[in-house]
Amino acid sequence: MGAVCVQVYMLMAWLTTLSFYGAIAAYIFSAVVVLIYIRNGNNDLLSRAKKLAAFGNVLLLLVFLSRGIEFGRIPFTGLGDSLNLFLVLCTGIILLLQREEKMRPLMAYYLPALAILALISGIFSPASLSEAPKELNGLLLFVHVLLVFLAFALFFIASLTSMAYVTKAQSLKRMTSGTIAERLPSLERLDKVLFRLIGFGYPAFALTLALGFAWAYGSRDTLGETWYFSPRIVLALFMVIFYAFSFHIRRRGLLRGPKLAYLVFFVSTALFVMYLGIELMQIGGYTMGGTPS
Amino acid sequence: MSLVVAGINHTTSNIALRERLAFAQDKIPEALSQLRQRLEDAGVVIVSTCNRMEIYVNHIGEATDLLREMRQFISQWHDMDESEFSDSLYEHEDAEAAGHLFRVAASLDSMIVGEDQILGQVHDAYILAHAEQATDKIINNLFQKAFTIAKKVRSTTKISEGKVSISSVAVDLAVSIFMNLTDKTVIVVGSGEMSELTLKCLVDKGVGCVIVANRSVQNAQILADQFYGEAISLDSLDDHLQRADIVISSTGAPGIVLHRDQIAQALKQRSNQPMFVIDIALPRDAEASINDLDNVYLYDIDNLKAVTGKNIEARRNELDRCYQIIDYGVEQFSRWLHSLIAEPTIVSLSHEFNAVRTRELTKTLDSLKHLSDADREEVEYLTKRIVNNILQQPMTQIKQEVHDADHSGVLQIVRRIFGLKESL
Repeated sequence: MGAVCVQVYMLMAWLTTLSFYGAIAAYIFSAVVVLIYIRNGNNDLLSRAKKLAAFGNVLLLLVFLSRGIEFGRIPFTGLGDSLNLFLVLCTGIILLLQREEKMRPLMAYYLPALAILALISGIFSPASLSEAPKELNGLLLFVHVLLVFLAFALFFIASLTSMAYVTKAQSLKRMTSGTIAERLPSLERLDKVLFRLIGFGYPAFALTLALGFAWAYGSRDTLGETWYFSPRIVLALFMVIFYAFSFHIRRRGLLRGPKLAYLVFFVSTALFVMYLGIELMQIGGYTMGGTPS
Repeated sequence: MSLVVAGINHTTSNIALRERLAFAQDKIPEALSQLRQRLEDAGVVIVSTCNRMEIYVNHIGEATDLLREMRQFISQWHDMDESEFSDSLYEHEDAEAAGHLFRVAASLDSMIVGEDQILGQVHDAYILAHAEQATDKIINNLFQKAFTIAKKVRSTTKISEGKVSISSVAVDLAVSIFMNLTDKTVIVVGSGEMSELTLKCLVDKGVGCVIVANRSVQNAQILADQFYGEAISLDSLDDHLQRADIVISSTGAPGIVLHRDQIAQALKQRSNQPMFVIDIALPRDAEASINDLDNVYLYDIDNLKAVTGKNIEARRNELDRCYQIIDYGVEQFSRWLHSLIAEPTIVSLSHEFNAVRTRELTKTLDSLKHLSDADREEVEYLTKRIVNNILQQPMTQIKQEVHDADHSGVLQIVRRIFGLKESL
């Protein structure tokens, strides 16, 4: 019986490794295909890139599944798992967006960014993927973690969409032709997609913060009295304020178009990079598993 | 067997001749029928558009005879002397005819290279001929191949990317800015042929509301009525500018008509929603610095011409890639056409082998009466498998040899070796 358990364990570990590196490769190949598309404009390449990204996504889901079976708990915690979850959610959002008409060229903006993330995951995650994921303390924390990544994924895709918006607007202003901008959807559509993403991301983020605060307040004995000074919490609060501000000015029509898109892009990217830095350097004050680092 | 095309197009004839040689759509079925009577059930398709008239025919016999018949038919149908059109008529045979159709369907032979109408016109011509039962196996395959290649050319090259007329470029730009034109409002300032044409293109694309502003409201009303629009005086333009998603300006005014402040004010009133300003007036109506405003996209006539120029150039640059696809298609079609020459021999060979198989099988089964029905079926199936396996390699090789070498020699040897009848 023991020997069988060891074999199952080894099989799961092998499946995790294989799926993980397969997924990284699929994402990188999808980005390469998209880069070729940017150069030659062959629309067939976009559907191939989409299939590769979808394949990468399936493999990452397999990583989750095999780790879940291997360790008996949902693996959302730890650097490798959280990066993979982020990639899965981003890809899911992208695949959903592609179902709309004329949205495919946006993959030229999305997939290279996902490939970079996959590469970062490929470099930094393997060590954490060999360890057991930390247990999430209760349903509250589980929902909190899932929602926070969903909100981050929505904001991340929104920032890439804003970059596409800026490129398109600049191309129209400067009257350039033969660029990827020409193949993008209309400015109005990009604007709608951008604020739909933020529109979904913002309530998810506000809700997850409320859940996080409730959980952290309940665990203040473990986390310490000054848990709210954690860089992650400060950044999260800043993000809530920023997205509330940008959503408000957009709805009121005070700021619209390229300037707002620039703002969303730079702030989202800066926040994401800082967040990733905090995660990589482990200076978050606490980990997703709920124990102080 | 010969596949030929005879026709005229915009490069070989003037519009007057093209008009005379055109086939009216409702007369094409009759023309197909007459031509098939003359050519004893040939496969025929007639493509007749404003820029070309072409007749594709596949028929047993020599190409020169076929082309002579076709010239006579054109002459009689249109009641013209052959000498009136013979200089403008081009004629192609076999692979060249296929290549010509592939170029036509892919819009490489069009007046505006890459335009998307011709594929639909060729398709309609084929559907009509097919419905009239005027097509045969070779014509069917030729046209299906032409449609596949045309789609491939469009999807894998940039031959149909970018519009090449001022009005269609303006519409393309509007579509680049706005998601849906049905809920958009266009204000036309002044009137002129170009602005009317651009407005028509925008309305065709679905623009919902049209406002025409002119010094004389009566004149504005004339244009507005054509598009179920609203006419306003130029003096009241400021009151309506905030409603405009698209502004087309083409007054004959010597100075600026659309000022930056006006547009900035309108933009503020419409909560910074984007505006597309098309200035096709000479001298220009719109202040150039309007383009510096966020969410305003100003294009003057030179900008639009520059876009069309770049698009034409970009299409030209794609031609080599398109021709590669077409050459490959022609090669594949020729290979298939050649393989048809071997078809009677292959059918005859198969008949011969199967005749032997059936004869010997019957003898054997007669002497094995103890076999059950299932066993008999199994034995029959076995003999079929053996014959198919024996024939597979020779058949493939015959098709290959027919394409690569002198096909009459190869087929004669095969017929002699296996004692096949000539008639098949």
